Amino acid sequence: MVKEYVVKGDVCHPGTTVVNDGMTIRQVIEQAGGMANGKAFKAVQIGGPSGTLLCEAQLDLPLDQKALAPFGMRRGDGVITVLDEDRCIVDAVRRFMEQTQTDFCGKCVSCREGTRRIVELMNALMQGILDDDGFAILFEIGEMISVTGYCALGKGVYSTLKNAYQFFPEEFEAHRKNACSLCAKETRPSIEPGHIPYERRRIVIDPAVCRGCSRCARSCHAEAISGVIKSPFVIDQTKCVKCFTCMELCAFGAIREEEIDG
Amino acid sequence: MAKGLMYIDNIRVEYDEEPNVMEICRKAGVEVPNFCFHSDLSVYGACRMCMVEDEKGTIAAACTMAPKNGMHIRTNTAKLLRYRRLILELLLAAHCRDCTLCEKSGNCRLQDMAMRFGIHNMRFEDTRPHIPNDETSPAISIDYNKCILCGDCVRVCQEVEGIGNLHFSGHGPDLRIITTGNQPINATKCISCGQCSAVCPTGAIVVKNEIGEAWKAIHDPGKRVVVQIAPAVRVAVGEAYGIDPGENVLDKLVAALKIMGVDEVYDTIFGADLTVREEGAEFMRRLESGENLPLMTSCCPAWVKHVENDRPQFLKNLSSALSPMQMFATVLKDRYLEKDKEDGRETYHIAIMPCTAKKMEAARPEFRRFGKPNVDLVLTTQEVIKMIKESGIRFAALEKESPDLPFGMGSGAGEIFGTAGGVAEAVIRHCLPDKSKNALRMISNSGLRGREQTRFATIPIGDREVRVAVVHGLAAADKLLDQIERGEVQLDLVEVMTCRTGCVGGAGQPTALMGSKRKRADGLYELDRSALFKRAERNPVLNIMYAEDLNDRAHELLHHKYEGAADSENK
Repeated sequence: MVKEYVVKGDVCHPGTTVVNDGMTIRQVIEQAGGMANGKAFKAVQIGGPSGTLLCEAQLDLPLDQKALAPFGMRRGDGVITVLDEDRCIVDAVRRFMEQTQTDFCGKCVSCREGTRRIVELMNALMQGILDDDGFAILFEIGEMISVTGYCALGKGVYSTLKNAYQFFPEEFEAHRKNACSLCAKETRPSIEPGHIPYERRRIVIDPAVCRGCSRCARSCHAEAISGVIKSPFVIDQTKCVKCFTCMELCAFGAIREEEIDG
Repeated sequence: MAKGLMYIDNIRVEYDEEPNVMEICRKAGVEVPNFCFHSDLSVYGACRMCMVEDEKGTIAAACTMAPKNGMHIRTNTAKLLRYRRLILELLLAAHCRDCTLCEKSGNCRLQDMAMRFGIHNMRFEDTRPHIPNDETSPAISIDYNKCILCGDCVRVCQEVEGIGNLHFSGHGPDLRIITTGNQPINATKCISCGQCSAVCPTGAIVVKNEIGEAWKAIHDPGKRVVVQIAPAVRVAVGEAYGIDPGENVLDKLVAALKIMGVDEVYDTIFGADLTVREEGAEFMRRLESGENLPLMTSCCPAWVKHVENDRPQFLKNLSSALSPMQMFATVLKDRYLEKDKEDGRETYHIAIMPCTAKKMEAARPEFRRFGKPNVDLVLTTQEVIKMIKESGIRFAALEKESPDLPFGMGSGAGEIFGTAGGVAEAVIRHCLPDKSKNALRMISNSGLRGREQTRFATIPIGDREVRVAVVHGLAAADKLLDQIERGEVQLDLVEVMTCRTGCVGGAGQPTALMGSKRKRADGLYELDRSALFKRAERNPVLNIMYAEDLNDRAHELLHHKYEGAADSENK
């Protein structure tokens, strides 16, 4: 069966990609253009909240719920977030947990109160002010949610955190001492695994690729794109409604979706 | 033959109609900790406290787990206790923990659970934004900050009362309870039935506390404090002192009130007898003329409010006879006008009711005479229990004392006003020309008593077959009204009680499960059986009063035509 996935993060060509039965995760990443900027692969978050986080060792497994189930994969939401070697895993998990706060319904106590506390604890960990008790509570709460949560979405949040700690314990330890070397030299906006919420995405035209054909401007429903023929066009972010019409029409692949930091 | 067999903590339990494992655990004598499970409401499964483990080690919530033959359920494994503890800690972390200042303290399921689990230190801070309290309702106070989002109030408002005035809003950490349109509660279609406060496991929704007013009046030498006690109160007030539900403790309650300094204590069943006579006469008139049938009772103020809000086409069907509380109050205040002038004391009338909506009824502008409300203050059973405790009275050991005369006596028909079906039965007793014991037995077996939410009965009065319906719970009442509107049922008399099981299950009563509520109702029927006289027209005090001047002034004192919420506000 053919499935469509969204690949985002540190790959050359982020966007939707078609995945055939039996394709491995490595092949999917290569299909999306491989790793960007020549950096090495570090980890991949598959499936958003109810998915899981995998590292190099699992790259040759097929992208399939059954095969990935031992690693905590549940249903998953079809978003693959690729992280390169310079990304801090703790930061990625923190951003992922923050996303649960905007996405989750809040019905059941374990997930509503639990994820809120996990976000608080992750923020403390990022700032290097989390004590031993707090660090233990982080995983205690995670395990509790994974068992007692009402739905798969809530139950699934723990596997990303658990796997991140299992595969990259040294980064967590570094953060507890407030001495993460990756965060110190990182200048890029942090990456959020899972889909990008509407208010945090932005559609931009890459001036290096744009040939100035005006096709996007003519098709824009919101009349947000302007420019002079044969020179790069720009999108007025205040007018843009993020409908992706321009992105689908562009013959040169110059338009892409970006995540606004914050 | 039972449907299947299960093992709860190795106790063999046969199950039959139980829809989920939670009910079967109860049957086995294990009360799995929970906040959001009520047998009368739909299953919601939000609190996650009721997790149980089956033989395969799968952990799931007992309230949503379907029973299967041969299941082995463990309710107290080490894992489960650890998870429950953590969930409880998280709940408490996002909850105000000023227990000694809370209205619900001592009666709070969250507090009780925290004590059972021994949560003594808190590892999290309360980081939620503060939401202001809603004190606009005459009947209930809402403190959104104490809400644990179990959804009980939302479901009881929708499923039992059919009002649907409370909703969830937002999602994730911003989830909260709001009223319709996020308005202050008195600006919504709230009927003040208070059932939300009765199911609330915490102090988020509580009955408005007016104990301070009561003490002030009692300690004021310029005021003669006169109390009336509703029938449903006497069979429930003892529950707070280890007395079985359904046992009549009116005598002790009178004694306690006298010790507290109340001047005169009377019985609302006197007012109920008045209501029966007035409503009975009205019923016979309407039956003869055939106008505005079916006659609908107007004793329940929450029901009246609901008709005004949502069903104005039925306003003409409502009986114009006042509720027993208001009947009593108008007659009392009228009789005491001279007495007040004689000794220079003002009569301050307190009604002890099982009901939160009575607070709303007492505050209605049409129930005032000479610029003063007929009922100055309504106290619920819960509040009276607190006052007795505050006074340090050992209630269970009190000597019995009878209510005062002349307004302290009434018929057995008045006693059963406190149960669903009682008002209709009392009115039928009054209207039936046959006054024999057999007739009483015939009425009680006619189908007016029972457990169903909507009950029908046909009783011959004269040459007519009178069709009566009794309904409790407004959601069921709304269904019946729909049937009446579509002409599917033909009825002559309809009794509506907002609360399930009638006034004995009122929101002002001590919190209880359906079993205790039924025991209270049985207690009232028992009182009726042992009553000196069973019919309202046998009340000797009333007969004298009617013979004097009440007959001529009945319309002025004892009737009020409900004309809709909008009209009454303009008056």
